[in-house]
Order: sequence, then C-alpha cells, then structure tokens
Amino acid sequence: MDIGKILLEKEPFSDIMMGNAAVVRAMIEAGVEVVTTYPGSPTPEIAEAARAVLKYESPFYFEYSTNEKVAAEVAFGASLNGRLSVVFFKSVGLNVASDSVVQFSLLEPQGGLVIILGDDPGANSSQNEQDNRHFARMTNIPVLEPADPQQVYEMFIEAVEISVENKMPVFLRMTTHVCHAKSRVSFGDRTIVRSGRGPSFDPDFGEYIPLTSAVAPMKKRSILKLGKIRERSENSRFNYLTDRNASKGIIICGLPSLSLSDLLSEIEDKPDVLTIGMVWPLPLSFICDFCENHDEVLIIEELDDFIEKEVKAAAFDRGLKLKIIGKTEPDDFIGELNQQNLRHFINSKWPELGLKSPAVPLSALTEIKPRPAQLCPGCGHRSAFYAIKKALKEDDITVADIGCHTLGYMRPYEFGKVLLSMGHSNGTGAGLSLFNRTRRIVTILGDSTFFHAGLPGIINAVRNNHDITLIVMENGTTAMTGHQDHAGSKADSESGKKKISIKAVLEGLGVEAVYEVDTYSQSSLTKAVDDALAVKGFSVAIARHPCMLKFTRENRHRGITPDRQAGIDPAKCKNIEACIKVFGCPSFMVNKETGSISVNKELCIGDGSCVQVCPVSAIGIKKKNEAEHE
Amino acid sequence: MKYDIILAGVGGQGVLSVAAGIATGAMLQGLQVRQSEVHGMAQRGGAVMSHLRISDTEIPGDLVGEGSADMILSMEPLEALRYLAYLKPDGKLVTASDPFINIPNYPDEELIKSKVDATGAGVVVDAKAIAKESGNLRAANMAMVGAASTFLPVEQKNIEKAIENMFASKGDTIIEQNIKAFRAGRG
Repeated sequence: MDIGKILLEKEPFSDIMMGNAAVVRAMIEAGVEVVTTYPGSPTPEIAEAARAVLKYESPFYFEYSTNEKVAAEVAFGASLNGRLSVVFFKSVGLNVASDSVVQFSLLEPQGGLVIILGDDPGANSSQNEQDNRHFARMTNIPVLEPADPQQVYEMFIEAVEISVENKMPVFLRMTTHVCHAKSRVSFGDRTIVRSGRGPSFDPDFGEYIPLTSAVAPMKKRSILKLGKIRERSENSRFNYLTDRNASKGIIICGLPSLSLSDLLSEIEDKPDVLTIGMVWPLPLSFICDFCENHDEVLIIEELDDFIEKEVKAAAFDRGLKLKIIGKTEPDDFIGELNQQNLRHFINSKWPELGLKSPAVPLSALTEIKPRPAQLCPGCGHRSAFYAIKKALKEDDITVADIGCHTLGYMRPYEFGKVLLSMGHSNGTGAGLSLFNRTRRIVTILGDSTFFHAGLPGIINAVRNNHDITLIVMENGTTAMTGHQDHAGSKADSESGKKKISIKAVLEGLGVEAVYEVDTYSQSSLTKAVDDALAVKGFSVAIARHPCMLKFTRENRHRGITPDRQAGIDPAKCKNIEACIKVFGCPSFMVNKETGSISVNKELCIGDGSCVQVCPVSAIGIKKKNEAEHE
Repeated sequence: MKYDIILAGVGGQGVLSVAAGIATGAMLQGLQVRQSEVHGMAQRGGAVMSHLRISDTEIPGDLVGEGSADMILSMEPLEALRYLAYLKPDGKLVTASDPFINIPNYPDEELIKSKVDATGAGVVVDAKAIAKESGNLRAANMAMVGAASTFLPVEQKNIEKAIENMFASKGDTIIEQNIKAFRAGRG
C-alpha cells in the first residue's frame, strides 16, 4: 500500500517503517499544521512521506523553502500565529538557519515548534560531521535524541508537548542511521489531537522585539523555562536505567545504545546502563545518583564529549569520587558508533570487560577498488565539464560548490579545487581573485544553490567588480537529494507557484555578460565560457540541461524506455579513448584483452551527448534493436 | 534464531527491493525484522549497502556488526567482496555473476571469481540469464532473492507472497515474471 495512505490510517496500527516516515505519522497525530524544509540528506524522505500524505488529504501545509533559514522562519511565523509547526533540514542546514534560530527561545511561539535535525556522524553525505547538540547549549533549546523509528515517533510527540507547554522550540535530533532505520513502529490513532491550536498572533502575548534592554528579561525567561524542563528530564521515561547491580556503569545516548545492546549480549558480567533520550537539558540529579552508585562510569556518545563534560562538572560539584571515563583520543571524536567502532572504543577504555575482537578471517583477502557515486549517463554536467575544461588554461583556478556537480572534482574532469558550503563559491572566488593577475577564477553554482545562498556572493561580486566567471549549472531541480523543486523549477498554476528565471535575476542585478547555452551543445558552451572569461569583471555562463536521471525515470514510469543507444564503429575507432579518459561516461568499456571499446547497453540512455567527443567520429546513435544486431 | 544479512550492489540494481522482499516475507512468517538503508548518493552509480536482521526474538539494533553476518547477498561480484569483513566464518556469500562495470579500473573478472571461490563460502548465480528466461531483465534481483532463500529462515511461500505484494500495482505479468525468476533462482 502507498505510504501516504498508510500514514493516514485512522485507527492505531503497527507497521515496519523508516524513521523518516514514522516522524510524519507523529506529525499527523500531533496535529501539525505547517511543515517546511530545504532538502538535504539524511532528511529528504521526511518530505517524500509528507508529500505522499498530501496526495490524499491535507492535514498540513508543506513547502520547500528557499533555504533552511527561510524554512525555519516560515515555521516560526506560523507558530507565532498559533499553528503547530515543524521545520526539518540536514546537520549543516542549522548553520544557515542559526541567525534566526538563536532568537527563537527569547521569544514565545504560541503554537508549538519542532526543529528536526538530520545530523550526520560519519559525514555519509555532508561536508563535516558537526555535533548540533552544541547549538542547544547556545540557544537554550531542549533536545530529544531517538535511537530508532519507534522512539522517533514517541519523542516527536513529547517534543510537541514540551514545546506547546513552554512556548519554546524543541530540537528532535535524528542521526543518519536513525533517519534510515526501518523497524516496526506502534502508532496511536488520529482522533486525539494533542496540541490544540494556540491563539492567533498578538504582540501582547509577549515582547517580540529582542533589542537592547528587552533581551535580558527574555534571556532570563528562557533560562527559567529550561530549568523547568530539566525537572521534566529528571523524570522522563526517555531517560532510563538498566540496573544489574554492577560496579561499572555506562551512560549512553542515541543510536550507539542499540549497538551497545548487541555487544553486551556477548558477555555475562554486564555493566549497568543509563540511557539518555533527553540530552538537553540533561537529568543531572538522575545521572549523579547513577554515578554515586558506581565505581567507574564510561560515557558513550557519538562525535563530541557533550554529555561527558556536563557529567564531569556535575559530579565535581557534588564531590563524587568515582572515575568517569570519556573521550581522550582523536578517533574517539570521529565517526559513527556502529558495532565495530563501539567495540573498539569500549575495548580501548575497558579491556577487562571482555568484549571479543571480531573474527574477520576473510577481510584480509583483497583490497577492493572504490566505486564512488558518479555523474549519471547522459548527465548534462558531464557535457558541461567537458566543454568548460576546453576553455580553461592549466593554471586557472576552479571553485566547487554543493550539488551533483561537486562530483566534477573527480577524474577525469577535476573541476573544482576548493569547497566550503552551499553558495560559497563566489565569495571564496572573489578572495582568490585578489592580487591575482594571471590566473583566472571560475566558480560554479547549481540552480537550487543559486537561490539558496548563492545570491549574496554574486551581488558582492557585481558590486565590487570582482573578476570572476561563474558557471550556473541549471538542471531545473534539486538533483542530489532526489529531485525536489526549487524557485527556478517549473511553475505550477494550481498552487500559484512561480518560476523565477536565473537569467532575469542576473540581468536585474546588472550583470552585463550573461551567456546561456544547453550543455549538449558543447562547442557553443566552450565558446560562451571563452567569451565570458574575456570579460573583465563578473560574468556568467548558464549551462543548461534537464536532469537526465529525473527525465529517464519519469519516462520509465510512463512506460517509455530509451529506444536509442550509442554504438562504436570498429572501422573508425582508433582506440583514442577520449570517450573514457576525457568525457568519462561510465557507459563506455574497454575490453582488457583486445583493447576495443564497447558500450554498456544497460547504462547507456542513448542521449548522444558523447558523439561530439570522438575525434575520429566513431560514435554513432542507433535505434536500440539495430544496435543489438551488430 | 537470528539471521543477519548484508545486502550489496550498485545504485539502481534494486538492492532495496531485495531487502523489502526478504523483510516482508519474514514478517509474514511472524519474525521480527530490522533494517537500515543507505540513501542519497546511492542513485548515482555508487556502491550501495543495506543491513537486514531477522530473528524470532527481539533484535537490539539495526546495524550488523563486522564478523557477524550470516550472509552477504550481492547483486554484483565486486560488491560482494567489498563487505567481506562483515561475514562470519561459516557465513554464505551469495552473489550474481554478472559484473556491473561503470568504473575504469574494474578488476579482471577471473580475479574476482577466484577471490569469491577462495572464501569457500561463495554461491555464484547467473541472475541475468535467469531474468532473461523469466521474460523480464529487471527481475534479476528476485532471482538473487531466490538463490538466497534456500539458506534463509523464511519459508518459500512467505517470500512469494511478499513478492506478489511488492509488484501488486504492476499487474499480473510482472508478478509472474518475478515469481518465475525467484523460483529459478532457488534452483
């Protein structure tokens, strides 16, 4: 059955469900009315589940906002107006949103506001593995941290209750493998709306202008509220003790608590375990009581020593004499605590516990070649990189940005030598251009990122006349995260969504040199980039082509499969391998014995973007059945 | 009883459908199931891996530990070798024979085959041929479910029911082709 239908079930039910879907059921049960996001792994499937629901009913308003800051502000504004609201985004999204989020606890959103964070220990799909619990301390926002889909569901409801009761936002911190874990979840029914709607906006509900002398009382109010929530944390069912009367104790939170259960099943003399679900504010009395009853306590948490520092300080204040063991080595602060990493961590701190070293007799057999993500067959970015590189000189500096085109840093394109964050390229590029007379600066932006955070860097470059050539990779979608719409995607008359033209925006900003070329017209694109580079000051080449993964997938759903494919004429092929070594389409293969090049029929989509690449014109596009007879 | 599986393949090969087929079959049999999926970069032709745990008692976590998988089930031979560290000493390595070559430095196929053989745990399946025979090239992953199913603690009828559920919206022909591939994979 369709996930949207399942999530809308009226009666209580249980089903196997991904964490990212379970949280949407929790939203429906809690009576959430506004949901906003900007796409980012590991959270895009929350949006997919929410949109699946909207096909049948409209329990909430949903939007892809321009970036995480705007998404957070829309949710905040709706909550000010009494509507229970949710915003979600990936770990680094909080950096973008933080300029507004740091004020949230000073003010009093009346309707309730939950901020779902997709943190990414292990940097599975992010540029760092920042531990967003630090933001909790800075912003006075409580944090709940689930370990599996059942807890995701239950803690979301708890987060709503805390938020509505205290008129403050609450973080639900889900890590990558909690977002993507799938297990059975028992849900409640839909008839109980837990939140109840708050009153509509009225400035008399409180001071909403945090300026100068107003700030101190607001801050004090948020600290007092946090104190009240700490009492709730002391008695929360999400902080619980597994007591075996042992002399050793473990304090643990989140996904590692599941890995720990697996590991402890190996040994007889198990330590006591205190599992923390409410990580801010911490139940420090409960924790200190636990410490008092043990000779040694080991603190296990992914990434930073956030809980450890709090517990050590509290134990010091109480005059406790036990040994508290935490992170000491650099590796202790890095990566996910899956079973093997946790095993290594515990063995390094407590070898006497007797966890076995795993038997891995087979792994030493061979080193396996990596198979990284790559540009898809037919991807317009491939044609773009091929064409752009032709216009570049060896010592030109290329600046990467975030999107599928980040993959351009890999061979054979090697476009993009530095990466920071969404939209950084024109700021970083401007700095690189200063005092740089000979080396030209070429920056890149995807279309979604252009709107997300790209514009300030562009405006800065225009205003200050930085000598940069920007390539905008326009494919009409937010491709990397699974094809979400953005401000430049096609208009939708039914909902009134408008398409914003990137070219018109640039012209409106006064950029004089704006070239626009379809990336499949490779020689025209090379010329456009050449011309743009010749312009002194800020110039732009818009390299356009629709996302071909989206295109072929949508076609397949309509029953249309590619009917053409590339073929190599063996009489013409001179084994130059430009199709492989320069163009880098994975559809081309070399026979290791004969050296002849052939086309992988399962990969090739017959797009023909490779035809222009062959210096001896050996590549042709044929109807599929003709190609198969060869 | 507990049975831990590492599922492997390349983005687009239907690894998640394999996981769904086995997981649903296990649930129909009243077993507990936990799974962890990998998303995001997966659809870009990169290596994909998923954890699937089946048990008749409560399963603590979603992730399989290194050295403890009862089976590595792979849609592709190079990917089968990538996760060998997870296999326990008497585990099974069930893999499709057909390589998915989308990297320029793909190792020699004979070398891969010899490495699979050297594990002493290998079960190599010509899933592509089975899929062709069943009339649907996309059913290769169900052929692999079939090949794995002889070792799994899940009855044939339950997995077949799961396959029927999975393809229910696609019509009877697709269901039949996938069931046929599944049965042929069982051998």
